[in-house]
Amino acid sequence: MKARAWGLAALLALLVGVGWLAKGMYDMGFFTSNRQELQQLLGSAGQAIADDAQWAAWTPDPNHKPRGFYLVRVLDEDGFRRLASSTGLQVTLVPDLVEAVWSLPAGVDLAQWRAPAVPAGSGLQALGAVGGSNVWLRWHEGMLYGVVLRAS
Amino acid sequence: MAGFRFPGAIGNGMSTYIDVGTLTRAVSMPPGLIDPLDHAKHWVRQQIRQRSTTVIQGAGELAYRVVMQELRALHGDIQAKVDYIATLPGELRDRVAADFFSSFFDHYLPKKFIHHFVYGNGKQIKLNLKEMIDCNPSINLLESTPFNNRLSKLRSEAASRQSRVDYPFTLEMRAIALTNGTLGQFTTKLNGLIQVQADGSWVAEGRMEFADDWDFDPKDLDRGGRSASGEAKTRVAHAFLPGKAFSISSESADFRQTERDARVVWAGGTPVPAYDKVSAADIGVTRPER
Repeated sequence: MKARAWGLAALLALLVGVGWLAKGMYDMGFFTSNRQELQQLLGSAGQAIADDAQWAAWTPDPNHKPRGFYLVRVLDEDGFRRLASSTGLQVTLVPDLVEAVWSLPAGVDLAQWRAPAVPAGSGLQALGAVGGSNVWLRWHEGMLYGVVLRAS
Repeated sequence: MAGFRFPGAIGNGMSTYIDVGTLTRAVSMPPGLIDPLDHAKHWVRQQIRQRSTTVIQGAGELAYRVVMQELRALHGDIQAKVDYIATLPGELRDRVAADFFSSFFDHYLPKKFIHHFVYGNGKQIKLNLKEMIDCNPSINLLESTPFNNRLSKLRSEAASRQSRVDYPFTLEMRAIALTNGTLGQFTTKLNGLIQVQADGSWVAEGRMEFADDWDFDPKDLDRGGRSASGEAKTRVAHAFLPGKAFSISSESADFRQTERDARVVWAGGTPVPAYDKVSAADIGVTRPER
C-alpha cells in the first residue's frame, strides 16, 4: 500500500515536471511553426494571402526566424483583385523589368514557382506593407505568386 | 625535454635530472608510485569542488587544465557544463567561460567578440572593412518599409513626369549577419541617393555603416526575430557568460542596389553563412518545413 502511494506520488511529480517543462518550452516558442510565423507576419489583414497556398520559408540563419516566405496558390483574376483590395494594395500591370525580388533565394525550392517568367503587360501585380511584412503579389493565368519579406 | 638523468640519487627509486631547458634540478617519480601531477590535479579538483577561491587562483594554469578536463568529461551535456562553470570562482570562471563559449565557433570574429565581452570592460569596437565583410551581412533595402514606401512614391512621380526622379535619402534598417556569433540582427545606417526612371527601374547608392550592441539581450520570442534555438542560446550566454556589453560601430563602405539585385552590392559580395557548431549540427538533421 505504502509502495503504491509512493509510486503515485512519483507519477504525479513526473507529470507536474513534464507539464512545467512543456509550459516552459511553449513560452520559449518551441511549438511555434513556420506557418504560424507566416500568419503572424501577415497579420489579420493579410491572412487570406496564405489561404490554401503552398509555401516555402527562407531561413538563411537558423538562429533567426525566416526572413521571407514564398507562396503559390490557385486563384482567379477576380479573387486576386479582391485579395489585393482587402489588403490595401493597388493592382498594376506587370512592368517590363527584371526584378530580383521574384527570384527564389538559394536553398528555397517551390514547385510551380513561375513568378519571374510572367510576361510584361499580361499579368497583374500588387505590392506594399501588410502586417509586419512587405508583400509582393503577382498573378498570371490563374496562379498567384507571393513574396512576403519580414519588414525591417 | 627529458634532460639528463641521475638514477637513484635521492633514494627509493626516485631519480633527479637536470632539465636542459631550465638547467634546474628536478625530481621524477618511479613507475608504480603516485604521479605528483595527478595528485596535484586531484587536489585542485577537490579545491574546486569545495570552491576554495584563494587556493584555486593560486593554482593558476593547473586549475584551468583540471577544469577543462572536467568539462570534457561531461561530453555533450551543455547544461551540466554551464552549471559547472557557474560554480567556479572569479578569474578562473571568466577564462573557462570565454573558452567554453568560444568553442562553439570556428570563425575568428565570434571568438574575438566573446573575449572582448569578458575582458574588454565595455569598450567600443570599430569594425574595419575586412571585419564588416567577414560578418557576412545580408542587407536588402526592400526589407525596409520606409524604403519601399518612398520607392513607390518616386515610381509614381517618375511615371507621371515621364522622366528620372532623384531623391537623397538616409535610412536605418535592421539586417542580419550570417556569421553566427557576430552581429546577429544589427542596424545598418545608410545614406545616399535613389534614382528612379519612368519605367520603374531604380538604383540606390551611397555609403553605409554598421551598428550593434553586443549584449546577449533576451528578446520576446514573438517579436524579437530570433528563432527558439537562437533565443535559447542567447539566454544561456546571458545567464552564464560573465562580461560587459559593448557597442560596435564600423567604417563606412560604398553600397549600391537596383531592382535587379536581391541585396545590396558592396565589397562584401554575396554573404556566405558561417554557422556555429550547434546550428551546423541542427541543419544536418532537420529538413525545412513546408
